[in-house]
Amino acid sequence: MRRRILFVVSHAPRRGALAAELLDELLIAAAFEQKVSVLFVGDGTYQLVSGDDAGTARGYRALPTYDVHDVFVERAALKPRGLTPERLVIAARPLTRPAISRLIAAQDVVVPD
Amino acid sequence: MAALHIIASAPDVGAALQNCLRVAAPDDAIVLIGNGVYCAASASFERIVKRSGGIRWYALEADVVRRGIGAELGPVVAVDDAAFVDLVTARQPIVSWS
Repeated sequence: MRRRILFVVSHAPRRGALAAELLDELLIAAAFEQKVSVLFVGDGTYQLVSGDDAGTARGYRALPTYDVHDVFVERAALKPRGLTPERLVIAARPLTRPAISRLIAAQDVVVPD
Repeated sequence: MAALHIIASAPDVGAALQNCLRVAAPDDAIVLIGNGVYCAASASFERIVKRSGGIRWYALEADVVRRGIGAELGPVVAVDDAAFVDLVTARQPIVSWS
């Protein structure tokens, strides 16, 4: 059965193994041909910013390779953090709060980090 | 369908409740379990509930009693295990925040 699985990234990177584990889960789900999407909210948006060493941003760059194209970011999270969609390592569609709620309601499974 | 959000960690650990409230819809429900029931004891809780619109709030009674914070529950409905299971079966998706 092909299920709709949404991964929600809400924490800043560099929390030890936790950030990498969510990315692993996501890529495994995608490899098993589930309908995977990912949403970055709050400080989680920082996970899409590339620093000078290998953070999770590098891993998320591989999403299109795994056929994960539904990448979303909380619109309201960007400006207060000095971010624009252009600064993120992959194309992420900015969503308003109501759009985020609709996205969640449409899922079979939601996995926060 | 409307989602059920489960909060299982105390307010200072990982900001579970704040992160949940970023994405919760007005017709969703939030249930506090385990150390998550301490959210109801925090000074800012009343304001958080007031600003959460139509969201319904629940707390697992056994966890509340165990931690001695029953008096702080306010608008939160205490549920036993059977009612918690009813909530889980009535709502979709189930989102567990940590």
